[in-house]
Amino acid sequence: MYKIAFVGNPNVGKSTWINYLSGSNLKVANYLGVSVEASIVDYTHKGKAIQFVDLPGVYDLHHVSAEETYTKQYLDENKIDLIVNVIDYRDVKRQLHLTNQLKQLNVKMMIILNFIPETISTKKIESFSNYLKLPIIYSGFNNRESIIDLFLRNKVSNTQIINERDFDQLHLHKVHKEYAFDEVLLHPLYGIPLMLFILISSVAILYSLSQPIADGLNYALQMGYDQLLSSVHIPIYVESIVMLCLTLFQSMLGFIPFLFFIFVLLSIIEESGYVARIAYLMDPFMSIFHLSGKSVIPLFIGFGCNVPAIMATRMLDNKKERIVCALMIPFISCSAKLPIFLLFTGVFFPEMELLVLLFLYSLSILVSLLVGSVLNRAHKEVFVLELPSYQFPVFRVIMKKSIHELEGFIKKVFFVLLLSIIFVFVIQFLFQQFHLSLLFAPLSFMENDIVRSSTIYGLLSKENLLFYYAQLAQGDIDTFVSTLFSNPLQRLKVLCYLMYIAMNIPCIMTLVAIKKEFGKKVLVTSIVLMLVVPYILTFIAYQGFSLWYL
Amino acid sequence: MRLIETFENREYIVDNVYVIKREAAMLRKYQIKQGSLIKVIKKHKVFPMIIEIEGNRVAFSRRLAFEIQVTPYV
Repeated sequence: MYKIAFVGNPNVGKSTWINYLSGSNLKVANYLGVSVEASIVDYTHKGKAIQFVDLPGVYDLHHVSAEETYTKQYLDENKIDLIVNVIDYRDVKRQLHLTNQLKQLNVKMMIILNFIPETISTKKIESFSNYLKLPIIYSGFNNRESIIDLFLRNKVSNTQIINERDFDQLHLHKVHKEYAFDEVLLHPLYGIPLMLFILISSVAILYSLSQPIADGLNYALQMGYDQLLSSVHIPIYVESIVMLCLTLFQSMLGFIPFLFFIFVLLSIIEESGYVARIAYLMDPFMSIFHLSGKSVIPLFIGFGCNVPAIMATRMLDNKKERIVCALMIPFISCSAKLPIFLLFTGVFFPEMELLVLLFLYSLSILVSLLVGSVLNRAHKEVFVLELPSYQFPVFRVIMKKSIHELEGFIKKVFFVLLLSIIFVFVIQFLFQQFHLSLLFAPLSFMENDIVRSSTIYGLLSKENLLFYYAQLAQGDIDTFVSTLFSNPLQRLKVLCYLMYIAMNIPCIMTLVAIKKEFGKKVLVTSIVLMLVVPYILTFIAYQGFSLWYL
Repeated sequence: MRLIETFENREYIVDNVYVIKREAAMLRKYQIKQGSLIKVIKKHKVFPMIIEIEGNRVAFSRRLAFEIQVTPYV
């Protein structure tokens, strides 16, 4: 196994190069700290097994941040055959420090020069290669096969230190980064309103776009099913299985277009470089909760999935702030909770679906911030963040990322589906045998065992909560759901239930990620918080509102 | 003068950085150290300060801007 480690500053394109060379789908984005641990991609080239290792971006190997400690440890403890130092041409001088440190490791080494201007001559690159005393590969250089050949053939390991002061004598062509939009987007007066406008209006537009697509897909599926029934004779027991599958598919088709558009929106924001600007704009606001603006980035990732968000807390320099941020993340409603929100709001709040969705998301953000504020009373960490240059999101990259995210979501759903079918029966059995429903007695808005057991079932994964209802419905899911909550105060009961779901434990994987990153103590704190906070809040909300109303 | 007392769109040379070791290391990552030439891009009473250094933009808390001593670059 030939092990090639990709090392470089954050946001220089290490993951993009590995994706290009191996055809893999590592996450890429235009902000610092996307890769927080080594991602390993296995590849076979002309019969030889190769392992590409994508290490977190670092500025040096001096153990200041979690990423630096991790990268240094990884390079020390593993046998690396070749280090590929990825360098951003627009900012070479700053990266020479890391190149010098990597040279000291005395491992075979190569340079990949990224973002080079089209006007640069090969002579200049050669002079740069001579200066570094290392071979250089740059974008547009041959094809992927020949690049990997070069990796395998390379024998150069050079421990000679480069004099960083001599760099200016190379007179490399300067490339300016794009910051023109900062004047508008970071304006002290209208920067924040503009950010809110961009985010809310994009969600509203995407929502209105996805609705007709979902309806069309559902209609087509129903038509296909009717056609099948009329043309082929199906035994009655097969028909009931087909019917269950159809219900499952229909319930999934209802939210897949919206979910896809949400992934597109997240990818566009990530690719454009706006995420770091959101962190900048939110820093004064986050200071109220004793947090630095940087903590917005993991929280923002949490809207997609809580697991990578927990890992992304590594970009925070202060350990206490990392832990607090990790305890806040599960309160952020991830994309897996969206289908269940859409189902219930569609049935009980058809005329103000979007408004209820916005309320639920705002609530989850607010609760998350309040939890953070209570836990982190100490002085907040200083805010230091590089603002990446703006780049126009490439359509192909956005589509590839969004489809990949959606694919992962669907795969996860189907993987857990089989397990969850058994789980439904186990939960129902436990509820009947051990009177578990007594635990939920104070939460009187959950009127029957189906709703109560759904909260336990949802611990497995929120994606499959929809299947739980679809499985029990055995037919039209909307009609089934509409019978779960009775009048009076039906809508209040539903809202409290959705609030409970929004703040409850997202999935087992999130707990695994917390345990892995922070250990048992933080895990127990997190579980207690996620169980107690929604319980108390929804209890107060329901009892308070029902007393006021009646 | 302190960095907080500077003016937008002007260039300065960092004289000294009076912060704890860990914060100094964080600033050094972005090349903010003694002798660096920086340009103040944005300065505001509420938002972090933005400076440009070797073509890169870095935002940092106003508290750090208090701790960095600079002289105007002529």
